[in-house]
Amino acid sequence: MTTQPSPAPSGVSRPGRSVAFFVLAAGFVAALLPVFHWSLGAAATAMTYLIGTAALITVGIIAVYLSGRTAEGTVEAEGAGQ
Amino acid sequence: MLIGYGAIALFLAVVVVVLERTRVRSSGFSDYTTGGRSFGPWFQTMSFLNTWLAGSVFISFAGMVAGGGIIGYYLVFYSLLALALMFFMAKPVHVWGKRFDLRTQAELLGFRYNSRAVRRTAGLIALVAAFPWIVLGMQSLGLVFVHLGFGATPAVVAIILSILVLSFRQIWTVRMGMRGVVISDMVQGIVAYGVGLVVIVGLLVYLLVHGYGFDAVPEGYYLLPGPGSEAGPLYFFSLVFVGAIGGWCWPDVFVRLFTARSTAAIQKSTVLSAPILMAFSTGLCTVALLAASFPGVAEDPNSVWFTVAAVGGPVLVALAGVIVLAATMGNIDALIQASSAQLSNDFTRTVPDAQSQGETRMAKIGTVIITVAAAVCALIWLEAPALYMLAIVSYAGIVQLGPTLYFGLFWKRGNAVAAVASMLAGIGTAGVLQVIYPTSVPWLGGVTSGVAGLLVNTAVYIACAYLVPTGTEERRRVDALFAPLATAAHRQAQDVEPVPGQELDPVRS
Repeated sequence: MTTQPSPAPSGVSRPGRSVAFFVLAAGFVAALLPVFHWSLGAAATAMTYLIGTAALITVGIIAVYLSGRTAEGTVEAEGAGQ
Repeated sequence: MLIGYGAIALFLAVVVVVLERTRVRSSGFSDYTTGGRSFGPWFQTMSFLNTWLAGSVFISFAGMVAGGGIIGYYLVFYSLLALALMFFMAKPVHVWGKRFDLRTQAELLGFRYNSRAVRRTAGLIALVAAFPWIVLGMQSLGLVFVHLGFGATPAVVAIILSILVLSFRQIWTVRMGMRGVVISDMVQGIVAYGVGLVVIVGLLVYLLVHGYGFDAVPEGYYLLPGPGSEAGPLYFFSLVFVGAIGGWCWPDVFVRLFTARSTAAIQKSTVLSAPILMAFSTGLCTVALLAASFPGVAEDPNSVWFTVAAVGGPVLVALAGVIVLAATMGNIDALIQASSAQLSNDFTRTVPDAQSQGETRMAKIGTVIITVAAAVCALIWLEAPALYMLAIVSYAGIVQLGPTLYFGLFWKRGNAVAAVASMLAGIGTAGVLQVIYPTSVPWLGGVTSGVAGLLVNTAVYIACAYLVPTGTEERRRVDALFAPLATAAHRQAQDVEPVPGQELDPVRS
């Protein structure tokens, strides 16, 4: 496995990292906060809530990973190993 | 019947051929139990999914949605939240695991708290909790053989067949250890979640086109328990919370963090797993939800996957069966391998020999013993409600490792007394409440026994962390343990291995 330095200098993406963590935190809150669970009943609201929350957590995970990579200033080059 | 069982035989043959062609002689016990810490993001992804999403998702979870509505979607939420936790756990677990050659979850906890009592307590909880699930996994696969027999196979014969198939697969778990489990996870994962997702999309289209839309779902299916409900207003929260926290307490899931070649590989596998997990689990739950009005589903919700697949004839039913088998095999292999590794590593090992051959032999014997014991129990307890109760209690119990695990990874203050006292207090509380209130605790707003136990557990841990004094030497050891984590991110980014002699070496427990 090798690494390739990216042109992004360290620290440039700090606001982006904060936004990424905010999105992930919002996903946690949406999934766990009981008041959201109690407000369901119709098909449209229920499916929007379920799929929307799942999408929010998924996007949050990807965003945190990408922002962390940019902040470190490197990317891992795949292809070696497995 | 020939199509169904022929498909299973073909799938097993493919798995065995792949395992034989990739067979590498393990170079020691550590290699045997962690696969040489050599796997990249895609292997990690499939390995995680194959362990996490067992065959029961097609049966129990799909059945829960088909029979009770959107409450079964808690699978989606807790799985994604657990995945997010994996991202943050990757660094401490992988760095400590690689640097100090840790092989099991119990060993990591014993190492972190510098305590054999913590190691043994955590190991015992994990072993006891995992065993009923191996037995239930063997039994639940019987449903696959019933459906693939197309009415010609009695239930008892089907369960015996499922036990034989899963026991046969363990020959390669014994011979190849964790490396064999991860490699077969790739094959099984492609079938279970790759082909499975294609089948799910096909079934979704079929249901929507043929009048089984969202408006045809029975009344009340879009409701979650709220204030005034029988289960209680905090019931859904409890399911999601315990699932997410408890996920990493299972030794078979946790050991995935030791098989990766780097922290970056684990974190990248999190990113690869998230969209697959979301698409697969949401799709499967939605198929089950739409199928609630499908003929025959209300009478037997647990068979919803096979009932709907029947629209594609025997070939699609056979494919559906192979998909469930692939998912089940991954979970059972991992449970058996992780249990045998813990048995030999955390209970029988005292002083490792030079080549670790004695430990490897012990782990292989452990795998055989656990497989045979589970097969015998699966046959003896064919109709045993006590086994189901034990399995449910075990989930409430294993989640009690949570505070010890998470505080231990991210907080320097915790000590061995806090760890042991909190685990025992949590298990005691959860166990008693689980027996009295099998579903939820009404006077606690509907939280499950697992959450109630976690509250006591966390309180005891924090109290002991502050009240029980920690010696200067131990504080220094823990500081040294956490110090490399601060620089690990930088090293990980540059993929630089620690220089021998320049790293701090806390005393091993």
